[in-house]
Amino acid sequence: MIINLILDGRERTIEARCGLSAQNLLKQLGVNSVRNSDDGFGFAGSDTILLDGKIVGANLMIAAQLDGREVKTVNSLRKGRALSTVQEAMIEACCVQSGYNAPAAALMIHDLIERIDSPSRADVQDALSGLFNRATGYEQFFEAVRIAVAKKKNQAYSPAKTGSFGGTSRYVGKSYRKIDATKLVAGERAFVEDRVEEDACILKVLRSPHAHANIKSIDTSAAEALPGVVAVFTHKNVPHKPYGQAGQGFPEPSPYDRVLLDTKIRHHGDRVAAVLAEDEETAIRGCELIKVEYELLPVIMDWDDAKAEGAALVHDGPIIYVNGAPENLKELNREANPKETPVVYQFPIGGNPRKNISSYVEGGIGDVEKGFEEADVILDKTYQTTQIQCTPLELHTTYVKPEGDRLTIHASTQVPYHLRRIVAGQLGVSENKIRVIKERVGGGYGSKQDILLDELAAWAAHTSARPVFHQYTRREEFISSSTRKPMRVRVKLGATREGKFTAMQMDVESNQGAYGAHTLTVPMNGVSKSLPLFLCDNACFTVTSYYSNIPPTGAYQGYGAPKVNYALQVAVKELAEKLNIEHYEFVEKNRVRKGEVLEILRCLGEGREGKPESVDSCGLDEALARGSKLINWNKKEKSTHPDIKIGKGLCIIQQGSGLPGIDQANCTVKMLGDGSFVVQSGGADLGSGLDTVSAKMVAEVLKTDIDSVAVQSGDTDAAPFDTGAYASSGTYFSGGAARNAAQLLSRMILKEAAVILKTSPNKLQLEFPGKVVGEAGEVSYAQLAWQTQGGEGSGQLVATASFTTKKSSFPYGAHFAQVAVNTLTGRVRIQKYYALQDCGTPINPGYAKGQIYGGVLKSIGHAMYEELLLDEDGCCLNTDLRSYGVPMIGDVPDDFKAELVEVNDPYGPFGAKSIAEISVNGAAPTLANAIHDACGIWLRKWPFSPENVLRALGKI
Amino acid sequence: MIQNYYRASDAADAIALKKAHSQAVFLAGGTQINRGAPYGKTPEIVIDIHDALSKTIVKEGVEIIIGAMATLQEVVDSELIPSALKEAAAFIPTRSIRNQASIGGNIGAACPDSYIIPTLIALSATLGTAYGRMQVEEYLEQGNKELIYDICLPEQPDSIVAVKESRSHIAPPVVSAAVSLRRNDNKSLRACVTLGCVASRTLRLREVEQGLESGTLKFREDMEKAIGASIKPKSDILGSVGYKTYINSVVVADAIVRCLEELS
Repeated sequence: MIINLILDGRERTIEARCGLSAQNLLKQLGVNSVRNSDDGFGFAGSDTILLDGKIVGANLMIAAQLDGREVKTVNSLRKGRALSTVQEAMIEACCVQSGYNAPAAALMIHDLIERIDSPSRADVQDALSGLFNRATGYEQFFEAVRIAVAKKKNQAYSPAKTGSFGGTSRYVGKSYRKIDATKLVAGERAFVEDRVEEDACILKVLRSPHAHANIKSIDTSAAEALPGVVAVFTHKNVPHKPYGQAGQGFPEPSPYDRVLLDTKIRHHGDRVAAVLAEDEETAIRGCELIKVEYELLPVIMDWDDAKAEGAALVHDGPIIYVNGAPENLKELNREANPKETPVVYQFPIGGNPRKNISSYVEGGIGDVEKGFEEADVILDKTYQTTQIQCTPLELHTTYVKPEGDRLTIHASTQVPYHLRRIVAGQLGVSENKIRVIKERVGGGYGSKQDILLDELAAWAAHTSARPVFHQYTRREEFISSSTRKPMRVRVKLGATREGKFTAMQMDVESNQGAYGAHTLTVPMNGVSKSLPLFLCDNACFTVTSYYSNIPPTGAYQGYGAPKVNYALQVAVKELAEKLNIEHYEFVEKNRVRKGEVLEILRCLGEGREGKPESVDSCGLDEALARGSKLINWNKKEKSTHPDIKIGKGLCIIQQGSGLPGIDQANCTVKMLGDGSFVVQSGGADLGSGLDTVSAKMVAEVLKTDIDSVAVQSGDTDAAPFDTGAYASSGTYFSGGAARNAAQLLSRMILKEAAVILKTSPNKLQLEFPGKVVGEAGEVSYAQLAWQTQGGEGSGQLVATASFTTKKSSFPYGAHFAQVAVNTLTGRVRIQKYYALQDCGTPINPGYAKGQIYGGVLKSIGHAMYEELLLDEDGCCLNTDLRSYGVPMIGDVPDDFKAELVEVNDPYGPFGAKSIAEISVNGAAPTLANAIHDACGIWLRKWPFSPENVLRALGKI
Repeated sequence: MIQNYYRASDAADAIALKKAHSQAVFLAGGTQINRGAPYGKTPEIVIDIHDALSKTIVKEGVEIIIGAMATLQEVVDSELIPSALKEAAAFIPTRSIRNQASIGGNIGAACPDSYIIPTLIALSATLGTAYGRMQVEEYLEQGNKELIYDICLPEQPDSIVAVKESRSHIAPPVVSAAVSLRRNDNKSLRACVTLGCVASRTLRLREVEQGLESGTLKFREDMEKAIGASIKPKSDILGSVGYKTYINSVVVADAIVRCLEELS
């Protein structure tokens, strides 16, 4: 049908199918900023438009509904290059992180302040009620509205900056506009889907309806005969080369236990076949036409099923070791099914797939048995966590283009260099044949550390010589993406009557799911990021990961810490109560402090031997003191309602800053012809502001205006190797590499300037803005560039440096909460949540806070609302964001504060440590402890849903 | 996937189109029908009634007439609408959905967890349709197939409370209910207790109503028991049978108590 509409002030006419979604229609009209996060479910708000002046979701409308109507997108807000008041306010409030639906938020806030002159907090919540935004935690949107309202009244209004850190530094520790914020909030082309060309084919995957089965037969003839189908892929025409999807440094501690398409299905949603077609509809229809006969196998749901006598084996193939094969390997393989995909370990991680064990490790210090004998009080409890979905706003997406004998992959990834290596391995080509361009990433949170779809799309592009676009649906995100592993954690603690630990024991069981991504490192990290928070001479742990048939698990922000720390911190409070010692006091008696040496880390290397680590910076003293004062810790709040009980809780948290001795980052800084700079960073900015961190560090070192520093990151052809954005490595490793490259370049600059000024480099220094000065005179960077890049010059000044370290810089924090528990309904309202965190020197204070808000609200969601539900056959029951239960702005604590505790770390660049990951480690134990304080129940299992609270209260 | 789209110019045109295309579905705001369109679950033929029906909200004597195409946000914003219905409409936690969804479409979809339908029943609302005016319950019993022109709210009850309960702010509800009480001229009580979320469509708890009207249900605990005995929810992803029975019992009993307090 012909559709006439007014789009952003222009009359437009277009012919379209009436049932096409309005979002797709707008895309056809060249509007990219109206995006899809939920396949027309009407939940996430990335598809927001103003229709006849009202906020609606374009994906929940069909094209025909736009006929004769006026549509405004974010393009209507911008005048030329100038952003609107609202867009500027959002940038100043630091709430443009991944930016995937920042244009939607801008429209919602624009609508709000057009309707209401002075909006209340409730008005803001209502205006943004349809916006799902995992990254920001929503809190800074309240500030954005406040700024927008003030600017609307007075264009010259400038808000107060978010704190000032980093001493006399010009950029480090000071508020500065995130360098990609303008294009994101304006809705410019920035994401993978924006790069897709018209001739691209669409790849769709036929996924298993069963959780555990063998494919007896597969008939693709009808699909192949369908007009528009380019190729059909099954296990018969793809490489049978085991690999792992975990994007970790090579050699990975995760086993290679999958192939592109297999004859065995190991989870609901596992790949069965794939169809490449000229358009999406044909690709979907092609999948429907594939006939598959399955032989169903018993389903392994959890650790108990996995270790039961005679349990079905999730991986029944041979076990192979690249290094360090155990002596009994031959015996282990005696009954293996040679037709099944093998499990390949790069080195031993204690796995035994013959018992459904994907990895196992144990360790300890001191004499734990003796420690328990010496204890006056012993606590022994078990805690359990659930499977959590990462739910990035931007669905997993890739676009692969063959170009000659190379492939260019536009990827939404946390690990462009690992992605390149894994794809090259599957295609059987060398890495130089693959170029990965990491586009802006609309949220990853760990799920984009794994290579979930790029390798299959690359195979399709490689063999068909056609450009291939492959994007998950939201349902596929739930059944086929990587998730947070469910864990069962037994904690045994012993202490003297005086409240000193004598022994600590943790036994962690992890439900790994179908494949072995991060099998060892996630649960082990749970121990290494929680046990060292308390000082005890006798401590031990075991970690066992079991294969099962639940949807795949992998990395999620915080790695294993949010789960194991929940168990430990609740156990600590339980023990404090048994000892009749106040919780805060008990924590203070036993917690880690600066100067301590953490012996336990000797047993907690990431797949290799660890070593004791000293704590050379620790902000816990201040975090605890400030937090307890803020929340008025010793005051018992009274409820005015008989059914509502109020309580307070706390916990302490820790994380790492990258993986010392394992990971590496590199960066190149180039001086351009006018004395400005381009930074080519291998770092993968996921929206957290890593590129801005790199720009700040370079500008700080080179004493130049930050606007003269451009950052190009995540292009594997352009920038040197970086391990990727995971394990809290961004600021510390990638930022450190940028600083090191700038420092190297500064020495080169001084040397060249000395030649020009005919003096010695050590008699010169860099001076802001962008010049070299000394007694012999001065030379600007522009002059220096002209000199070095001319026909008689020494060559363009380019410096490349790496960052590696053997030192761990642990970030710390203390979280406090006040909750009101309705004992009639089981509802828990979070009245106050205060997160106080030591990230060393905060490089971007506003965005550091944004990371904390985002992390805390994610973990509130994990602890309170979210739950991936499976039926008894292992099939996922809730495959949409609403029934899964992600938190929205209406769930934000009534009083929500992120506070930065500045500590100058001796090893991090400019004293920085990591900030984002640690933020998810606190909410579960803090809330569980607060709920106990309110009404006396111990919640030893996620989620703290009304039903589970009522059950604990004995009401049902 | 929607293959054929017709736009009705007025109510008569909508009815005529429906007669000509019996498989067609009326498309109001589209928040129900369009949902999940990428999966091909949408109807093949739709009749868009956006321009065909009124969306005005007017007061006629003691009655309030709401055009079927009034959006739920317009219901929330209208000064004419009783506060309980405004509150029920605002239970839909997403502004963009409220801006798109119409009140007529919400009733026509007849979802068991509708926030609007229990409150309309508690308000004794009637629906204007091509087959005449009918009670909301009657419309639901007949299979909710007729085109709704408008909703008429008679004189308000003496007290009315709408309630919802969900795991999080935006999660699907486990309780969507409304309670209203009216004093007749002879001072006798007329009660309406109506719940969604516990059956395939919104229910009225007649025995509970009779207990309130006869005075046999005086205490909260008795009300909770009576409500629990009147419902048979099913276990699903939102909760177990035990939880759903409990939470509906205590929340609706609480609503009744609040109504009684308001009445006294």
